[in-house]
Amino acid sequence: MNSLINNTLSILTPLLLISTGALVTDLAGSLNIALEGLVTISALFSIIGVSITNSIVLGTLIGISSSMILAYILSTITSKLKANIFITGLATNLLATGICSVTTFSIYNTRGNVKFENLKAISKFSIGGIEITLFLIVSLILLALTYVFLNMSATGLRIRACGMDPHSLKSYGISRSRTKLIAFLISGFFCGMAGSYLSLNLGSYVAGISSGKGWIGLVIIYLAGSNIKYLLPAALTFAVAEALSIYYQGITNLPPDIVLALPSVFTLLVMVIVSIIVYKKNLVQR
Amino acid sequence: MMKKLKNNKTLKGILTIISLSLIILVVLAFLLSDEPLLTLNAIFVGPLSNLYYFGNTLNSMIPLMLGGLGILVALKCGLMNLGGEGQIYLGALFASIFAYKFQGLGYISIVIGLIAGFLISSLIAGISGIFKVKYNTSEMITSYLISVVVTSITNYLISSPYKDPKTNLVATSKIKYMLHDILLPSQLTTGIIYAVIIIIVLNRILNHTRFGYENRMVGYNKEFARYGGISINKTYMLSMLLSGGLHGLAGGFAIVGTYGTAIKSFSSGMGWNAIAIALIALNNPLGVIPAAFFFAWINQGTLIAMQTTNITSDIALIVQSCILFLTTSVVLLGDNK
Repeated sequence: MNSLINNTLSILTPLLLISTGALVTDLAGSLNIALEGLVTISALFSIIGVSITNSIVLGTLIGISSSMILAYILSTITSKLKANIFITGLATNLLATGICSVTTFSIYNTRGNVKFENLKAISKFSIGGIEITLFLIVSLILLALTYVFLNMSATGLRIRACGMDPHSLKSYGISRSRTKLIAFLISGFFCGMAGSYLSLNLGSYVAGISSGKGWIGLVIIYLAGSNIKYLLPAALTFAVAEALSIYYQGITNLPPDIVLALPSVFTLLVMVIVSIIVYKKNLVQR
Repeated sequence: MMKKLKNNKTLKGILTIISLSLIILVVLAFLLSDEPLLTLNAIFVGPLSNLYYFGNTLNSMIPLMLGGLGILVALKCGLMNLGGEGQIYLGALFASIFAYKFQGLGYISIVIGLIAGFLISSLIAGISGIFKVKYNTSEMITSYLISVVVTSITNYLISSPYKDPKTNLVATSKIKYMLHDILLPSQLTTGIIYAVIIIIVLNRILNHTRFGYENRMVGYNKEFARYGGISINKTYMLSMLLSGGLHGLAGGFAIVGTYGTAIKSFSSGMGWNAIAIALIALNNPLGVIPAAFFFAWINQGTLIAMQTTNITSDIALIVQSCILFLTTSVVLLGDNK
């Protein structure tokens, strides 16, 4: 039981971070497809950062900066060249994969997987056998701060206005692309943190480390109805489901390839069920 | 006159994108390689340096062209099929299984394999189509998620029930009848001729038939199409089925032409490349031919560079991503809807 809870919490941490960041871009009116890439690049650079500086904080900061730089590139190219955000998002994912494998190849001479020995571990403490990491606490605090930011700060309200009615922003003389840029930088910050957690918790970087978490993040927002209040329960649903699938992997002898597919099957089911509910609700309202 | 001007801008934009991506390749070679000139020579001249490399370059165009065409069909009516990875892979598996089962029939087994690949992948894409039509579920996210599931299941099928016990590879049984080789010793087969024929036929369908017209109209303006009496749901479904089917063919041709057996995760990355190719083709079915050639050249060139110098072929990923960044730019290319 304890291991189930521990697994749930360890899966919840990155999902919560990613979906909080993605929610900000979603409210600004852009579907952020680049979450995977933003997570991946930070996962690599934060673990390299930790191994060089020997400090978790500095390493995480390096990872977060790398992912914020990528988010900046994505947002700037999209707005300056008037490109399709969706395609540039895919390009960002591809770019992140490329940068990561080229970096690991030129530094460590492997294509993707790097294991670090004697790496500083992230600090955990346990309450009654349940391990709680600093990352989890920080991500919960950040969720609360984001709630305050989106509802009470001028920038947060501008971001939401940008998604609801971009023309009203323009009539107030506020730049839409600048507002979106801020949203993307915030999203980059959160994905960066999620990436740091993934690689530092694992003690190594592996190719495809984000393993679809960016996409699950998008579906979490969908499940929460783009409302930050429901973000934590929605993320928790996915974390529990994935922890359960790991748990059942241990006690049944399903082939590993099939077990790997289970989180996606679950995500797909949730996506379809929610869209049916939304559709029926709209039908009644009409 | 206006149209000509726009085309001129588009052409300039494409040239800008291609030259930018080539510049990036040069910069990467100088940054990462000990012998940058040798690397660059391998990348740019390598694919043309002998018949073997040139044939392989042309050969790797086949799945890219067909997959790109699949993306393009859906794109024309405003749909995004993100499930190409899984559709190509599963189509390839079905093609290999069916071509193997029916190899008693001789060369007809090739056709049976291709049809099986077409049908299964069009079914897979059709699932996303049904949910889009019935409940307005984003086809982009469902097709991607289905593709992840399909990829895992295909991995399982290849490594367990359908694995050929006679080889050390994790692969299905090798089929007996395959397309004829041309340009030996390279891997190029007559598949490239069939692929080009498919492109020409599809160009005809998209530009000169009722389905093509309706597909285009729904993409231009959904509401207008609805007023015109076009069934949007039917068009969405047909478009999605055709899109998936073409991905299945892409996988199928890889089997009956190049590999003869479905090897575990052999098609990884093809689906994403197909998206880029459809976008560079600028919504023109014939455009997938040069677009696929450009991609195949860079892929083959970086592979040769990896064999001859100390550089990873993954630099191709960076170049491809730069192309993707720029291909939808209205500033560079104008509005090409």
